[in-house]
Amino acid sequence: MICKFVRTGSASIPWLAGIVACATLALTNCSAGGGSAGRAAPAAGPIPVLTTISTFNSFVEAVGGPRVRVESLVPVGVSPEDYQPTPSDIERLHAAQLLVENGLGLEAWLARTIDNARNPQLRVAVLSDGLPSKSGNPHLWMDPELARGYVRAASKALTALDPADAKLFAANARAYDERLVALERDIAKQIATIPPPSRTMIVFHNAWQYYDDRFGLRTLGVVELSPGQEPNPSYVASLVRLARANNVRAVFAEPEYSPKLIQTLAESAGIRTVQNLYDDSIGNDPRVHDYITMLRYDTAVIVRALGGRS
Amino acid sequence: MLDALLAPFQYEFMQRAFVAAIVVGTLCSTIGTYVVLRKLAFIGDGIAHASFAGIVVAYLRGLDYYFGAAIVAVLTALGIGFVTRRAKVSLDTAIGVLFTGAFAFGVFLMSRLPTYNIDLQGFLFGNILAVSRGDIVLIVVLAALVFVILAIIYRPLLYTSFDPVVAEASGIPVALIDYVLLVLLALTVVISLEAVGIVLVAALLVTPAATAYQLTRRFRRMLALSAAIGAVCGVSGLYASYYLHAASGATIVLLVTLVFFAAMISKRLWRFSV
Amino acid sequence: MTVAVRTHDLTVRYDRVPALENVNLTLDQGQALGIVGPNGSGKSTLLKAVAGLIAPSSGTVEVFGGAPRKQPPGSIAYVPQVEAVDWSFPANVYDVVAMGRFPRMHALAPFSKHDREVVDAALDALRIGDLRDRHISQLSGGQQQRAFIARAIAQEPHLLLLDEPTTGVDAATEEALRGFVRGLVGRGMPVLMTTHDLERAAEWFDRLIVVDRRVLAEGDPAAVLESGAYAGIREHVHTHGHLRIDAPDGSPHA
Repeated sequence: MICKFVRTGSASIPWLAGIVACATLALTNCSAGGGSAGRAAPAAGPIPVLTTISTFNSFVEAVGGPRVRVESLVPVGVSPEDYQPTPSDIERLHAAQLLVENGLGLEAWLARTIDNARNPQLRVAVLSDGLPSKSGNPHLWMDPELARGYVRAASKALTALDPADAKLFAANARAYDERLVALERDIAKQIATIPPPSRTMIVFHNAWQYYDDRFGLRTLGVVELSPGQEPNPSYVASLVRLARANNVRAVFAEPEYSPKLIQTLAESAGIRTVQNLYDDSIGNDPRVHDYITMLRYDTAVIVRALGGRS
Repeated sequence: MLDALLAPFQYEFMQRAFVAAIVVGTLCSTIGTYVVLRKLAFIGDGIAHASFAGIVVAYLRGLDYYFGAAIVAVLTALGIGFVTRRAKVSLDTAIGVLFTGAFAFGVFLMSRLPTYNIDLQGFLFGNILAVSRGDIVLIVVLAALVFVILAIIYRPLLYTSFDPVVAEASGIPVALIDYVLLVLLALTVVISLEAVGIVLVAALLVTPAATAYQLTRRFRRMLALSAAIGAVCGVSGLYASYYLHAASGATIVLLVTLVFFAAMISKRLWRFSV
Repeated sequence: MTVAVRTHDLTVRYDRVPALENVNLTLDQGQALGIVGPNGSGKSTLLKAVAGLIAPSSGTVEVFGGAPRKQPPGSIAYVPQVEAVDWSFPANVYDVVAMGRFPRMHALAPFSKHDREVVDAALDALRIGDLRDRHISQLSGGQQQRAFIARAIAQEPHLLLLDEPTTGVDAATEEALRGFVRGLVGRGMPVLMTTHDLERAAEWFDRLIVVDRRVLAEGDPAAVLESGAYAGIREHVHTHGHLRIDAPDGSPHA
């Protein structure tokens, strides 16, 4: 078939051009429909805010209420460490007024994308600024106490952008803060029902350090030490030994990743429970639609898996 | 000392990985003998790449990934066989265009999904440590099927590999044999995806057989030697990756490559042959 | 006598260019039919059509009363002019000749004593028994030719098709081949063979056919050669460098 093109010479060039044009049109129509959000809103309309991961939407929406329109760059179900920005992301960055990110390397891919977006109007709020971090692990928000700091940071950023609504933001932030305090109490109560020897976790990513430290659990092992880095056989063997030695009751997978390796690990270690936990993306599962329900859901899963009462 | 050597075998996931390594190593290098002699290496690599599109489409439709990969791999193999026979000449370019396009289509589809949990890296580079109980049964059964069919068509396959024209005149169904071999190659590729992945499976098809080709001038010996190299390197490579803390698929392929160069050097320096 | 091969108005075209036109020939059991003609005359095409490797564009080819491809495996043995094989393939002479047994063997059946005897006999008949362990890349042209003929014989075929088997072999080998083929014919084997060489046609063949896209002459070898049909073509090609077909009555037509 390809030979024919070569042989028939000039008669086929317009045909070829037409095919290329149609193919390009078809492809762009496929990928269109992305960046309609965040177009320059009139001054009286809601502030277009972009977050990096969907978990942070809860904080911004809680504080800003109807005064903000929030979207996340990384789609639900995708891990931020693996995320590849698309051209429509650049478009959205170009049109947003506030970018809310975590910092501490969670969004390593973001710096160049922000440059490319070339939006001098874009303000950036780094939620983890000023908060105590451990070994550079970015997952601070998993500790409700530290999440309160995130809410304060979101409130500060929105107030700077829209001073007229400062009172509204402050009131919303206070209300949400109270909910976070209540959440922390509830979680602590539930975790306390786990028998002490069972308070160990083997997880996929090292996202639970802050949560564990707050509530008295221990992350014993991490399957994927750095994102995208496949574990080698002796490392997996060491995890199996660790699990057996500590009588670990459950291993926890994440919905964005194939559960195969975790299942193999569990089989080899004689662990029967494998559950999914959410940490950096919410939205698809109706039980996990914002930060608070995510933590409640995760806590219930952890507590049940480790033998407590929820 | 013995404890240290046997250490890896106490883990169930390693036991399964060893079985997978030996089965895949033997299978790839056995059929690889025909791949090398009939110059199908490019097609083998292409089938592997095209199968990725099958995996993604299977995911989209909620089907088993290996089923999707197998369908696309077999269709691709048959399609290539058909087109090559028609043209009576190797269509490297057309084949290359089709395979790379299929692979890109798979990546394109995947990138458009808002959410996916296909382990892309696992399919590209293999994920032999994640071989489940179900997987190992499938691998062993399918590999046995491929071996049995290869045994049944051994003679016509040998004849058509050496002299397809005279074989055809003497009444051997050359076209049928060609298609059967391509289908077996497609199945081999799919079976091997989990062990070594799309990118590396071509190496496992070609290198052990190429090594055997250097060392012997008899066909049966080449076949046996190739299979032996594949089996031994599969197991040793996995074993080595355990102690070297390295990715298993890549270690196996590195080992077969080292063996190839060792054979080449032995042949030249000491006129070593089998 | 049974008819081994019969073609009726056999025409073969490659991309509309006719290689053979309306060829009619008959070959009986126990006969050797020689096909002569210059290069490009369609001799090889004719042989391939009889072997079932090329489908006729029009007309028919029958081998033992049926289509060539429908014959039981092993019936037809074809030895092409140029063996387009990979000479670095891992096989020695014995391996190649043994392949001749394959078409008739059942899938998982082992190589039997009879199979071995037939292969040995074929090697001896072609006088290459002492080359059995030599790799095929280490053979001379004549030895290669003999190996492939031995393979054809080992097949125990019912029809033998040879495409210029004497090209590039020395006189002694040629004589040995002639004796060998006549021996086969004497035992009932139909043989269809193309050749360039006319000198000893009467000793090789029972009948001769001159082909140059069409059949120009056919019959007893001595008579055909005397008729000058072939000579006309040969001379014409040599002096004019192109082909003009002379009808048997001598009038030229393109």
